[in-house]
Amino acid sequence: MVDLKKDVKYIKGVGPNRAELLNKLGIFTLQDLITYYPRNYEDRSKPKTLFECVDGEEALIEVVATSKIVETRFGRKTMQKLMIGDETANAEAVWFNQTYLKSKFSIGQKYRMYGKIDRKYRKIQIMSPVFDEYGTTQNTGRIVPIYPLTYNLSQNVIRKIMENAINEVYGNISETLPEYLLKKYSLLSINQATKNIHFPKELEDFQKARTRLVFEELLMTQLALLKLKYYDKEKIKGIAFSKKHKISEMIEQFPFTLTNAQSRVLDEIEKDMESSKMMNRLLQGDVGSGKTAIAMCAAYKAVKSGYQTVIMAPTAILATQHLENFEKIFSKLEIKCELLISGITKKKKEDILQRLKNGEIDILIGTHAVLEDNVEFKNLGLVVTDEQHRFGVRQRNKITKKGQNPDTLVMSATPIPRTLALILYGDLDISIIDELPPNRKKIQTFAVSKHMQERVDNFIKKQIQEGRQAYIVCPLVEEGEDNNLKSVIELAEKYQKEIFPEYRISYLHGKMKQKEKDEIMLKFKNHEIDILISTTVIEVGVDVPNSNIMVIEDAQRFGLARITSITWQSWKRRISIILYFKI
Amino acid sequence: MCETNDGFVISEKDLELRGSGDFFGTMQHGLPEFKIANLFEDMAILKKVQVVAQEIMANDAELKLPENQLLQRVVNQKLEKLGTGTL
Repeated sequence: MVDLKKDVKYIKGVGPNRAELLNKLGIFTLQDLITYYPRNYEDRSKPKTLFECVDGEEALIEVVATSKIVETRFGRKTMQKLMIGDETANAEAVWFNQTYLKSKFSIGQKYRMYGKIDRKYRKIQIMSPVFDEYGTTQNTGRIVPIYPLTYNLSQNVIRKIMENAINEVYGNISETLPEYLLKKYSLLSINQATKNIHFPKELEDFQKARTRLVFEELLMTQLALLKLKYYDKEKIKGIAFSKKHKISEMIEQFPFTLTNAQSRVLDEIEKDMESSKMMNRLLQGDVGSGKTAIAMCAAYKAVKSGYQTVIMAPTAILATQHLENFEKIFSKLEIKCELLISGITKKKKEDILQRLKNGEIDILIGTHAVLEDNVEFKNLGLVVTDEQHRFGVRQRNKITKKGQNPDTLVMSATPIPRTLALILYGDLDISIIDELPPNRKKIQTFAVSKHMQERVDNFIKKQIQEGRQAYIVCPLVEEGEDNNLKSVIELAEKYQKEIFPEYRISYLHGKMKQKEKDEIMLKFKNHEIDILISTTVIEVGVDVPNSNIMVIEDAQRFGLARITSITWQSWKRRISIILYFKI
Repeated sequence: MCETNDGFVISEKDLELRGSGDFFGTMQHGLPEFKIANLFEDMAILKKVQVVAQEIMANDAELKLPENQLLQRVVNQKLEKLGTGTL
């Protein structure tokens, strides 16, 4: 069996210089190399006669050289021309700055060439073709793989290296899938699949190879997550929170009644918490479906059982908002909450860290700052992370290690279909709040085209005159942040000068410092701004109940998931949405 | 757009329209990176795989049976990459 961990520099045709370039592509070992899959293929296996070739197409031709290479020089550049022909027509092969080609062709010899055909009037040229002597198949005569990004390695070079590597490993790779799965699902062996994914003879070979490799990759990922879940559940002793302190005591504190969905989820969570198994639960639900209330209930039970809770939010604004909401309820119950974000003073931070370690703080709410090494708990029992996708598995592990196998509750507003949830969060149990509180107004969404702008502007005016506030979300520009920036400022100017000169308009974008952003959000919250124009940074969602309208420009650029996430994550409830589409 | 407010319906539609690259572009961190699989294109294989994985876990959660030895090795490599260490 071959050692797949072997350094790539020892592969035939690589050497130290090329190894360095391969390293840049993330290829360090033989294993990395043979799993560097093609992004596409070119079928160079079906020859055409010159007569059949069409202007502009890429074609494989089989021709005889009828001249020597003639080199013409103009300025610093050179051009190489070779006269060629088959039984149907004569043609020219043309290259630029390839002086070394001179010695590569002999008159009367047959070659295969693959390149772009240029056919004007009666003249046929093949531009910068790749070629082989007839009978060899380095670059032509077969389906060739096209590899993604190769830095300074040409496709030819990487193809040759890959060929050497495949020759070395083929037949010697240890099988990775059990026999019974290969049989049951008619999957290719690892050796066959590896060879065929790089050098398929027919397109069908490639498809079979790909199916096998995809099957394996997905299966191993899925199994890893399920095994992680099994291990957490069966092998790790978690905290059994007190059965004396019921979540129902907490529910009485709320000024509203819970939805059936919330009650059901709380039952699941309470059961998890009281068992000595570790809780690892993902809680999915729209913004406004009441996830925060659930987090409070879980925190209550943890604190009453003598443990600390940490709540991690993706931004300082959200963390601050959580703190406000938590304090409203918990100050009455003499449960101490604190906020740890990067903006606070050193003195305050030290004080918090000290009290946290002493156990004087029951609930710590914060951003990534809570992950820092110097944040130590006395006895962390519950970890709640808000907005899962911003904290990876790794970060979850990091915070979990600050306690003795604390229970974990992950909250997400992004709706994920079941099949995907299983492969993305297969290590978690999943609870879904699929019901909104009865008083929650449905979001109204209108898709309009740009020529209705005047009507929309008038609608916004009317709302602002009634004392409401509005958001305008800028199109995303793909080319980069700078363009986004420009489009936000331009749009803000346009609105301020041309459309709403009488109102207070401000803008937000991703390049601003967190402090500036927070200041502007605060002003908006305090109604010192009527219209806030922004890129998607506002997505982080501050509750500004007075705002009731949001306009999304060039909505087609966002994609539906993005739009739904903007609409849900941010403005909760009372907001109408207008989507402009370029039609 | 006005037709549904159900996020699951919308996100499934979106996945269909745009493919997983864009879909996950909006989710970004903490997701598994695949070398060859594409969660959108390979949904059919994924569904099959999930049945297989759940069957295997039901019979042999620790992957200790002789026929699952191969799986155990690769799964452990995956877990190491996730930063959890071998289980």
